[in-house]
Amino acid sequence: MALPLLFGAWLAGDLMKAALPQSQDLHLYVHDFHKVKHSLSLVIPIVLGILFVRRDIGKVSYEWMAALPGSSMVIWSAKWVAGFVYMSLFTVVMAVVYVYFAVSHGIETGIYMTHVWTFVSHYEMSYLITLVLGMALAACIRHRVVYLIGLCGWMFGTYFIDLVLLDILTLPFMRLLHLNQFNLSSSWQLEAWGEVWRRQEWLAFIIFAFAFVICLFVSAVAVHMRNQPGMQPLWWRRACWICIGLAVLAALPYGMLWNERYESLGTYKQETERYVEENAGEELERSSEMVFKAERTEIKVQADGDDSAVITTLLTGSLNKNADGTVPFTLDIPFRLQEVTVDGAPAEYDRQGTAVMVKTGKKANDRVSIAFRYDISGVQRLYSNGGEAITHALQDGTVLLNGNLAWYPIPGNHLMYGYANREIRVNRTRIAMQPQEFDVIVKGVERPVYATLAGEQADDGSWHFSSKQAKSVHLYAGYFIEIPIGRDGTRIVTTPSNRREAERMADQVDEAMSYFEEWLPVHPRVNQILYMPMRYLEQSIYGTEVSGNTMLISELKHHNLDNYQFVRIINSLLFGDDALNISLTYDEKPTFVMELRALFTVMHTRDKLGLDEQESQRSPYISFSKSFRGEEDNENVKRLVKLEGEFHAALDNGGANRLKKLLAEWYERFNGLHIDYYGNADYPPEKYPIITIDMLEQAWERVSDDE
Amino acid sequence: MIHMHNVSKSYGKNKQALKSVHLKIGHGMFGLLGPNGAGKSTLLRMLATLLKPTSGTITINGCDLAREADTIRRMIGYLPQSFQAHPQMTGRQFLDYVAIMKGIGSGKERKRHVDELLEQVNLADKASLAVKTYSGGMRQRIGIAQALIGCPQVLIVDEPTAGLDPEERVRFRNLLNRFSRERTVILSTHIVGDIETSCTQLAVMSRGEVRYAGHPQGLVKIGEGQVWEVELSDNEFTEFEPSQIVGARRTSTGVRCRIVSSSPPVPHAASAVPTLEDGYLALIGGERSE
Repeated sequence: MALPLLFGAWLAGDLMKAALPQSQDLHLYVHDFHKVKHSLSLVIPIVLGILFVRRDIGKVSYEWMAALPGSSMVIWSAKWVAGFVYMSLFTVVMAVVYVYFAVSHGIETGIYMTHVWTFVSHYEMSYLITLVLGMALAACIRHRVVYLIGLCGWMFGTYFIDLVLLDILTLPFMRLLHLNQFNLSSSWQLEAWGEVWRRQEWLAFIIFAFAFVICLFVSAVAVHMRNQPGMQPLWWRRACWICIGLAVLAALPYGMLWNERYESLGTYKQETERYVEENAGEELERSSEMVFKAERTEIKVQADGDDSAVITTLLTGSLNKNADGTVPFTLDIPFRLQEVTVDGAPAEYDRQGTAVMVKTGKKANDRVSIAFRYDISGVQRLYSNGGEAITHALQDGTVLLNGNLAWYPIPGNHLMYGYANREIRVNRTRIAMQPQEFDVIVKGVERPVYATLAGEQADDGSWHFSSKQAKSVHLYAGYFIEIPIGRDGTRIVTTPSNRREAERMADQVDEAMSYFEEWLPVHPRVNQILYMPMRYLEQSIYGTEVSGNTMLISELKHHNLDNYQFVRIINSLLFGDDALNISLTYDEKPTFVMELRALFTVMHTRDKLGLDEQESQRSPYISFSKSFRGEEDNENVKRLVKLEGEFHAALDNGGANRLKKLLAEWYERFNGLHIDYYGNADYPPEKYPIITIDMLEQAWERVSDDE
Repeated sequence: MIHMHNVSKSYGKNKQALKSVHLKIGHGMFGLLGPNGAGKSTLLRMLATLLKPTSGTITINGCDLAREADTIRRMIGYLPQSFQAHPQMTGRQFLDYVAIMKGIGSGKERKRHVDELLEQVNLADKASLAVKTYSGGMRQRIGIAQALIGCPQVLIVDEPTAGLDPEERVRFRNLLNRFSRERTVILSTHIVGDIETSCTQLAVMSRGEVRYAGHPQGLVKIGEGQVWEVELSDNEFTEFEPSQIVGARRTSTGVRCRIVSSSPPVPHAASAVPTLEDGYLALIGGERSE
């Protein structure tokens, strides 16, 4: 009993680390445990299996057992069952410990029971296979070297497959032979979707695993009994061959699954090669954008409730002056195009990979409405760096449609994928999308749908999202929870295991926003925070990003809702973008807008939280002198640091209200200090307000004079 | 009745453990004598349904070993040469476990049977102790008890007295003797004394062949005219091959020896009345000295 209890204590120790200041996402921690430590625990059943056979069944002094009436199968089965029951204690202890922590983290019963079922079924299947593998090895290898071979088998069946076959060689189908299906790089870890997305593969694996277990078991008994009279060699040989055949047959569903996936990957590869061969790269991309400018995009997603959806997208806009009637669009490969109409009439089109060339029959400057009808089904995967990278998914009530990956036709012919080192990778250069009006209707999805646009559920159960000015739209549906921030509809959408962390952050943000709303007419551009692990999503989000009304935060254990994210969230809620920790003081047209924005955080820490200057400067992103370290000789920096000092002095001397008035005035004057920030894109001057150091100093002098 | 007809067993191409063995074993205690490596254990393992003969047929009470091994398993009890029981179990638990494996389903019947056997092997007072605490003799007795569960018609015991102290050996021999009244007991040993007192039939094996099969008196007869007694000086004693001298006792004038030899070993040697051991040594003595 000691070992299962130690195992439980080990898990408890790991789960206790799910505490501040790092992520409190229990799901991440429990999965990390499963991936590494459950694999370690598999050494026990393999040694146990070997011992079972070597301690008595295979020993001369226990030969009396083989002379007992009844089938040897009985003894083997009894031993196997005993071993399995013992190993199940590990499973039980794991489940109990997890449930305890799940309850203490406020995870809903239905959710954690679903997880428990997944964990238990995985553990039991691992132990089932590993135990019989140990017994089979001991039956085949009578020498004690079997212990060494068993350990090698365990190492191969766990870490070797993970690190070499999956990670280095990128042979994901080799997961079939993995003793622990919680692989090091596995989308199981995505609480919102993982269990749904891996279900099909898991079922296919289970079929094979059971057949493989039977095959190993029968073969082991047959090998062991091969010298005994009464053992019909032919019968047993047949039984072994039948079992091996059965195992091969049982591997077929898994093989077919991977065949489909590899066919799909082949298409991506072809597309990448085609694009490189046929296009002049960047030049074409730029020129194609000039052909058609979309002003409004209407999308209707009709899901069938299972794993597919028909999507209709209507783009309305005008052809540019250089247009010749053929308009290029980019639509991701897995979307099967059924029909294209131009102004309601069927139109000719040519599709190659991601490129769709629509012959509109229109002239330059004509207005045109182009409608696309297409469908998609299942989960779309790429494989890179040993892990899955999900591009789009529509399965059993879950939705992932990534606006950055052209789930609706995007004007222009854009390079989306690259092929290097036998891996398909998404082109990390963002498609520069034009702001336009969006209207999205989603029907037939059971779970609540979240979009990066404002919207709500209609009476008929459909979801309606819209925006007058957005660049793209992402759609999500899965296992999410909503944590409201205040009462104005702002919320954190996250995965169930993040409840505690999200609640704490919601309270903190609510308090801060209430403070700002007292003296600032906040422009409500962002009112949704989507916080979840995104590691296995081909999402192109590093850290954080603002898209439409949503701030997306890619969660990691050490990239969580901590003090840094708090500042980022406040920044996004106040200014409607995610620009932070950058300086635009050296750009073509220098601006001190970022430094001005930082003063809002200074106000909060000093005025609301009551910290003095020194204490407040420990908060992230608010100290100019720290930001410009090494550039103290720069004249502008000198002036800025001086201003910062005066700002703090004013706060020390009870000048908070006048400072609030000044900040509110600048906030209103420059459109909420919004920067049209989009990832790694350049910053042309028209994307941000130009605020010079002179303007800041003048305003400051004015406030000081008032004082 | 056990019939073995032309039974051979080979391991690979070169090693032949048994060569054309013909044997008939009837009711009572049957001794299987032979030096180490003679093939006794191989033969017994075949009878215990653990090994298939390479050729030949074996029938036990009319059941063919090749086709009806399961039936044979129901009618035999087997105690291997080095017996081990599951050490954590108590004696009673262990016998109960074997009784279940032998198909005695009723708990009440099992308890009665196990108690009876524990009494018979004189382990009733130790029945609740773990097997790992038992002495060598006690382990052999629990071994014989497990072999007797289900009242088998044939009891096969392979060198059961090896490693036992003299007192335990005598007790064990008597125990087997008692059981042989109701069944066939095949006792394999290389200790002639084990067989002398109890076996009505025996076979002597050497190098995979049966060299003698029949009554013990027949084996004694083989020694007639080949056993000599003589008193030797210390110098004379050292000139003899150790394998020739089957007994030696020091006297005031030298060493009184019992020597197996087809002719008088020394001119003053006197012919002696052979024992079973002398007959056995006379039969295989030459081979042992090779």
